[in-house]
Amino acid sequence: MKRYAIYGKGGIGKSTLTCALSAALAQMGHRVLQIGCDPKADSTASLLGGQALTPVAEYLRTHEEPPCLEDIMLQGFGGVYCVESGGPTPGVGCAGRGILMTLHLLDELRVVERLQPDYILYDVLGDVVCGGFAAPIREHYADEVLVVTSGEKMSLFAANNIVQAVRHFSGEDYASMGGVILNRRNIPNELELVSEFVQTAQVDLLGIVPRDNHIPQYEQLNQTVIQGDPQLPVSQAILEIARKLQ
Amino acid sequence: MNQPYSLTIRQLRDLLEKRQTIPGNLYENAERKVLCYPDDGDGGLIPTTTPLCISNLSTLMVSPMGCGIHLTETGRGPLDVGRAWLLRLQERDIVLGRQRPLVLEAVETILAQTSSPLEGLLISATCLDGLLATDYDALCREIQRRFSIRCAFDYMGPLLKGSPRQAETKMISACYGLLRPCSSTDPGLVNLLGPLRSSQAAELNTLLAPLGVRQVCCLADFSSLSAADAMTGARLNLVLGGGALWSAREMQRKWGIPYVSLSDAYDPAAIAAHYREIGLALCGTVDDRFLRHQVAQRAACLASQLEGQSCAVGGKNDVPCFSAAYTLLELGFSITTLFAHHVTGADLPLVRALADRVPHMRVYFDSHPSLYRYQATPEEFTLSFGVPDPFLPLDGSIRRAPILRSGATYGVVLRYLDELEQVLRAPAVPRTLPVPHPFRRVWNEAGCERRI
Repeated sequence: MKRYAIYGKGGIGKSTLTCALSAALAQMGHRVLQIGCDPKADSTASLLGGQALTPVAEYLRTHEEPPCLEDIMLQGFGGVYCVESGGPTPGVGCAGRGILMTLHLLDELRVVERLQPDYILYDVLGDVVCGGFAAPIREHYADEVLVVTSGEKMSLFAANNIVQAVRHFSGEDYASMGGVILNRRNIPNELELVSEFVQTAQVDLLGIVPRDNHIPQYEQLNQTVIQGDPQLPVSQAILEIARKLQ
Repeated sequence: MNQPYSLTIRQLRDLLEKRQTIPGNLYENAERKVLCYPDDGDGGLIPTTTPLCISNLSTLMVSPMGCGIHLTETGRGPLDVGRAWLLRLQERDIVLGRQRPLVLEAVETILAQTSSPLEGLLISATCLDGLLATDYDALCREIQRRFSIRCAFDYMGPLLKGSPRQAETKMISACYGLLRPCSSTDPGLVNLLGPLRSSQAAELNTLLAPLGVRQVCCLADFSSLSAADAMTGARLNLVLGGGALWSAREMQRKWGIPYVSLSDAYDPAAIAAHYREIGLALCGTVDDRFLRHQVAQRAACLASQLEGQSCAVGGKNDVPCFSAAYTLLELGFSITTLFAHHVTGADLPLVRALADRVPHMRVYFDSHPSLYRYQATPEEFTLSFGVPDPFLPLDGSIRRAPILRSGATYGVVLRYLDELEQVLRAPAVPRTLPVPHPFRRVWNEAGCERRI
């Protein structure tokens, strides 16, 4: 089993890419579990094709008893198991701790033992802003961290923060850096900028995802490009990254 | 065994002045040994005061399980009329921000279960809520709107700003937030903020009467919360010990009541200074000469019994040991040893004053690991003022003086000197060690007490 936590600046395309990678790995015949670690609970929408999944936080808010696995998990495209941590109502509570609570609950439900996934992908909200958001890195949940970035300055800034956070834990037996995925925004010299970053930060560039309007088109249909058209160049690029993760 | 780490007060002063690291000065990295309350339950310092002294006021403690137990202990005491409620939140309630519906439900329950009309509700939240910035302000406003009762809150936890303030202090402080402005001012009224019932009030009433003060009152002197609103029309606030300083500032801001802050001093000179300040605030002079003379006489009388007694001062029950040591020096005691918990730059003025008078006074740090197996001997000192119990032998060879509680008036000092004299009069006969009781109290998993 391999476990990846996907981080990156907000709006950079983490959820889109995570869903596409899950779909690609599933298409290759693997059992995949994707866990959305975002209070917005929108990580797995492109895999579920419109099915309504109850986020863990939502379930806990409305039920006194803890859930069983079926209450908080659905299978999407390619049989990918989907779980959303969700979080508190915006402005109250603690989203970071909510993620940790979800992960602990999944442990209690013995998800890994029961599903025996080949891959677990954690789609984590934005930057590593507090302990809760670092939980997938820290608490032996993920083996490697993947960072999604474009060549934009603030995106690289966030990517650097995430790399530093992983380095901060390097003395421990925590997740290590798996590499960087460039999600192109087509800004000038984008590849050069990102190449300079990966060289300076001493991390690998795992792959380059071209900018493609098919992605939002298929998202409108609650699908990934892998499901929509696996022959597209963007789908091929994502499949290539998925092969590297094997 | 290694020698326990110590330094002289002069060395400590030099280090503080040079802003150098003090080797034995540990931060609060372990459970404080100094919190050895003299009695369990109501006899200890923490559980003896509670804002529940007003009968139509109720307290709702909103807490996770562990904090809840602490708060229950805090809220218990002789003034408790049994109107404290506990809402135990679980992790998910806090993480998912479910306080609002649960607190509102709890208030409904309290109102349904309370036979006499409830005028105010005080919410005691823990530091967890403070950490997560739970909006209790809005919740209090909603409770006031929905249930037509006054509502105020404070975080009880020591984690937040103002730490380490005891929860009880915070509850007292929050209590004044329930007051509403009264229609008229009363120039004959002076408030004593901090204690709920005060042993200092009688002396203050006597000495301030010539200045037109009819009554010095505490919160518990009023039968209801609306009656206590009279405090908002007072001429002056006296803040005892600093616990309610924030409330005094708020009352000054909202209702223009000036305040005088009284330290917990036992030192007659400091008490005299307080009275001078009170006199200035009331546009007159407080004639405290008789009482001051009486304290001086009693202290001098006691001094004859102190010959040959060397004393140590510690921070048991959070007594600030540097100021306690200085006070005792002023009263004529010979202080040879100090057990400090932690020293900061703020202590420098007192450390300087002590170093000037007794430069070789030995300073230990009560949390330092080298003191874990330390036990004092009568050769070091013979009288303990709040030295943590684990450092004192059980055989009675070192006498335990009464702990300095809040002073601020001559009457309290005189009572303290009386208590001290009784200790000194008692023969220092080594006693046999107590036989441990064959039973000890434990709690099983179901929370039921059993004996083994």
